Amino acid sequence: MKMRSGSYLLLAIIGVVLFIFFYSLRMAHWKTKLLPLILSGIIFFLASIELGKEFFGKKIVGETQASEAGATDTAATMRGYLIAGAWVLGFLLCIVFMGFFVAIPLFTIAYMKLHGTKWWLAILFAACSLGLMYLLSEPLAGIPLYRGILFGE
Amino acid sequence: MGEGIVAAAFIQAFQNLLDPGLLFFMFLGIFIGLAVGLLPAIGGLVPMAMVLPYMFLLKPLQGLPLIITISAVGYQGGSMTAILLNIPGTEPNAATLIDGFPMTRKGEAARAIGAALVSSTLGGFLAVILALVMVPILLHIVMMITSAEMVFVVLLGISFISVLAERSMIKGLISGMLGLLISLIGYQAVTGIPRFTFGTMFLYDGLGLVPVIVGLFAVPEAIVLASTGTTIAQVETKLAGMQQVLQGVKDVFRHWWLFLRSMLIGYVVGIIPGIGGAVAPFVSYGHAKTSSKNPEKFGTGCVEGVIAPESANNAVLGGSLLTTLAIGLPGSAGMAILLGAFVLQGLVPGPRMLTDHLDLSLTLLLVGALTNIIAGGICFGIIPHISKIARVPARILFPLILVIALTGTFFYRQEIGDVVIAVGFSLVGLILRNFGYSRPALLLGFVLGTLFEKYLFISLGVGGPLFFFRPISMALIVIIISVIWVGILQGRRAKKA
Repeated sequence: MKMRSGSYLLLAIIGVVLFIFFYSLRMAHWKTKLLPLILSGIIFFLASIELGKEFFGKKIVGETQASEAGATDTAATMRGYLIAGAWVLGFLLCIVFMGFFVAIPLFTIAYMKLHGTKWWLAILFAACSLGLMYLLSEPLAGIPLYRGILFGE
Repeated sequence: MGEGIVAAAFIQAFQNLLDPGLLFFMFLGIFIGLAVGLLPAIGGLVPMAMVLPYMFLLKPLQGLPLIITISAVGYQGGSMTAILLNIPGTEPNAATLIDGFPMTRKGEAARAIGAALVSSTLGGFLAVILALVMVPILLHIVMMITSAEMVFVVLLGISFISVLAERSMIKGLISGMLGLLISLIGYQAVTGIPRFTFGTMFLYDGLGLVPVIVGLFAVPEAIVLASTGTTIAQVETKLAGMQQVLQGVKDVFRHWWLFLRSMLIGYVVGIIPGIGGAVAPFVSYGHAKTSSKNPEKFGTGCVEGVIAPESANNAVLGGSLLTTLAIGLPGSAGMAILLGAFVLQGLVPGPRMLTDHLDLSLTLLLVGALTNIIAGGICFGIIPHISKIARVPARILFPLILVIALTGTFFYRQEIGDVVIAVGFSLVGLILRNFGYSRPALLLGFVLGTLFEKYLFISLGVGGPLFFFRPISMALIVIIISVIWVGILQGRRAKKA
């Protein structure tokens, strides 16, 4: 029996709700633990049914061939997601460590330049983005933009 | 509430419409809604999620009209990409492409767009007018609702979206329940004991609405867009002359009875909490096809197949706006974001919204009606120009969306932790999106979770364990069971088919 990626997700959900269930049992007051216990119990029940369907449900004829044919597409899509996700993570790390003032232009210029945009356009776009965000935050709303772990106080 | 007070509120609402600040943000919302509605990968909830962090900078009469306007006009922009490029700008435009794109292939693109614009504009306008007429009636009904009923109304909302929002009922229910579970993070309202904070002070107040919305909707769509790496739209399409557009306008009036029925379907679906705007156009399309004398023409480029879903998709707003304002229950994920905007403005939608802030409620309904007319008029003039936005490359859109979304998330509470939460939730959003789980169900569960727990313990305190032995509560329980049962039956029928 071959596990599908959806099954792994359901197993992860079951694992998380089981942890929540047993963690909730240790909570101090019944009013505090009532809903977490009920909800995690329901999710465990529903996820188990879905998992059972994935394992023992009837397979449509030709499903295996179709999934094999689509495997290449899925791998390409996943690769695309991973690359884009890495950019998001990189942007987040830049914000956390260097703050918005460095992260916004750095991320914008790096992304646009590496995707074929001309230097001047990437720099102009980054300047406009940072200018807009700065205008909205400090002068208009009076909210100082986050300076980052490296450059903050 | 006296009729004099209602009349005074109406007068105040009309005066509010002349406020320059309100008009500015209404036109800004029209521009954002139309522009973003034309971006197939970005339309729908994303622009609402993107402006949400800025709500606290604005007054209620500025911020709330902005969100409502974006929500209202996004469908009008989205129908154009559905017809021209076979890509729906927003989820509710999906049904339009079934007959809209074949019309484009037949050289009738302008006729289809004309019909879609008039159906959507008039449908949205009439539904909001209907909602305005319903306010006095609804005032009496909402007075009968207590905390006991609210427990089941909240559950009803969750059960509806879980059953109808996505392909699998179980996955929808899991998503809704996960949302409820996530909403429990932080201090418990009654006992004051922190839950699932694991000693992190940042989590004591619970997860913020903005990072959750940005993470679930805005960032995952940006990731999907970036993973394609090219422009969104790949097809070059040119509109035909104005004559075809006018022919489409005439088509709507020729099929006025179909238009009215479809508009009512959209309105009623919008009133029911939790169903969401994506369902109504498909229900209308199905109704149009089954009631047509020539059902075989549907799917081959039939103008009725454009009129029916477009009349319904914007009419949903009128119904769902009314439910959101009067009961505090969002009729769709878009309205859940609007609910978040209300909370950020320090307002609590619900029965008291119609008594304490009747003029604001009426103003928002009027904004919804006026927006449809203005946006419809603008669309006719700018169709050829604005459609170029659909060709903005991913290399520009991806950084733009991320910068606006993540910086805006920081503005929300000035906590860098919120930005981290938003990115964390983008992984959740991406997983839910790709494995057929319902992101709107999770969002509704998250938004309604705190309300559910509050009303549950109030009801238990007042009425004891048998608090639900009240006529309206029992009726709601029966409806919830029926909804789940119908969902199961529909799932079985779909499998057999």
